[in-house]
Amino acid sequence: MDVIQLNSILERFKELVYFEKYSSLNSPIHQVNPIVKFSIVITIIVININFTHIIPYFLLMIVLVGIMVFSHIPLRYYFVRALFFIIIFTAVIALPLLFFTPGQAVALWSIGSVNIIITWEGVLLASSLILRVWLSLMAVMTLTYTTPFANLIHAMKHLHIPRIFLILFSLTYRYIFLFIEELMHLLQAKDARSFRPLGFRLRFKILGQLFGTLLVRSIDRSEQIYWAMLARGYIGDLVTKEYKSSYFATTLYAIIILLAITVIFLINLQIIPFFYLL
Amino acid sequence: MTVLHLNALNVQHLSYYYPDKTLALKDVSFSVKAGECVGLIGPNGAGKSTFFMLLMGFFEPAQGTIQILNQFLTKKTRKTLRRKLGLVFQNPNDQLFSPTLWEDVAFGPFNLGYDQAEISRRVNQTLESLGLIHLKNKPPHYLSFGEKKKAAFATILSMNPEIILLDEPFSNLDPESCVDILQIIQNYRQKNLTIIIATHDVDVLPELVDRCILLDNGEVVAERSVQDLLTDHDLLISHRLRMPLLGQLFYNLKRRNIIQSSELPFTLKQAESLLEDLLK
Repeated sequence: MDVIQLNSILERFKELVYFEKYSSLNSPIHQVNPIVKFSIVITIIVININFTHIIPYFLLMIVLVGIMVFSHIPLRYYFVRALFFIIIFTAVIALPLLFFTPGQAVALWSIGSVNIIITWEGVLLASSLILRVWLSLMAVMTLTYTTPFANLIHAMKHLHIPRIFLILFSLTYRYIFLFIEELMHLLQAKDARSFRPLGFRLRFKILGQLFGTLLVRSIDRSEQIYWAMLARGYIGDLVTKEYKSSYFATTLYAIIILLAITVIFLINLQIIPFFYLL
Repeated sequence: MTVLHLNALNVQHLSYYYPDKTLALKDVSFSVKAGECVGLIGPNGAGKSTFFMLLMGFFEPAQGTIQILNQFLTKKTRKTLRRKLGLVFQNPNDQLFSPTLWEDVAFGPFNLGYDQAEISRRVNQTLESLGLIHLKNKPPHYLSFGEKKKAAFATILSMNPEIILLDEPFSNLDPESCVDILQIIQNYRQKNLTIIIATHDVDVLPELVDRCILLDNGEVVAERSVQDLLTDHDLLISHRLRMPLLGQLFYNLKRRNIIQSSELPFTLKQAESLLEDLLK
């Protein structure tokens, strides 16, 4: 792969993981207390995992799209970003389920003595998994795109999430951009001195050396950061900043969303009748 | 002033080996008085950064002692002593690790155990004094290199350290940022803080320090006043350094008997007054 292509992929990835541009807007959803937003997202994820019918998924999606609309962030940003991660997830996790889930065959290919079978159960399992992950991802996005990262960490700290996780989240978010930039610089440095087409083996050898260098640099940086933390009296805790949130927006958000997800959950349990499930 | 008679730092026979057994520092001995601003000069790989790491207690010396504010640096005392030291790393990306600048500057005061109100006061005051308050909610990776360098200063100044250790504070800076950093150091010098600047950038040192220690191959080669050390052309060249550009210019003119002045100028002010005298 050309270094220009790789660089543009890395630039795109940087854009995808950087959500600070949207999280500092001032929509009604941005004014909701991050602790409430975080708790609701966790509730949505847990409920979504336990759905047994398809309709509740779509109802929940309507609720999430509603939150997105009120967040004043263009819907395409949510969907494009969700799609990016869904494609990766599908390729790595969901796709193999099509072939490795035992059940009734819907498609079969024979390559020599090897039979490749897609089963109906596999299709169901993969699609339900993709749907669940997609919904969970959208729910997480309604939180991360409407909450500055620092406030998110503050909220998680208040919810007593172990400090070590918070520090890991915090450092990962801080250094992922620097890591990508360093990788880009290494690729550019390689490209600046590559004057002839390289064979497949040699190209992989160089890429291996390049990632090795990146690993060594990362280890070196992690050591420096730890020293910088110790130099400022690090005692295993994380400082977070207080934020302002609207009591009105928080209460309204909590009532509406909790009511909606309770109704959807009861529809899933068929306690509340829904015409499609009858 | 009585405060100047106390030693802020006293290092005796300090030696250190890297894990691969390479000698990093060999029998280093010197002291720095409280309120003094000292330049630790030397070429790349001389052992300047390693020396700072030893002062912070990150590395264990193979031999020798370190006394900081009259207290020996040991495993037991290093955490307490670190509270009195402020180290600004060469690369600000190593120093700024929090999601926003505000939190990074608050990190030190928070760990010192101050309450929220005091933390806020210190952070806002430090950011105001360095002209960074408008960037307080910005993630560090979106700051320019000059801003990052100033922010790195802010992270230690909010702790009110008694000794400031600056590792190559002027490296990779544009001229304006360089002037800003120079101004910050000069301001803190006036507050009688002890400052040690490790650098091989000899042009700015005469503006800042009283005394220079030349370190090469892990050894103290010379310890003199800045004027004395930075005029020793042959010594500096033999240790892969050079005279400040202004000094070098007048040194060359003197060698060619174009000027007769006994003292070489190092700062712009000194050069201006010498030139004025010559042109009269």
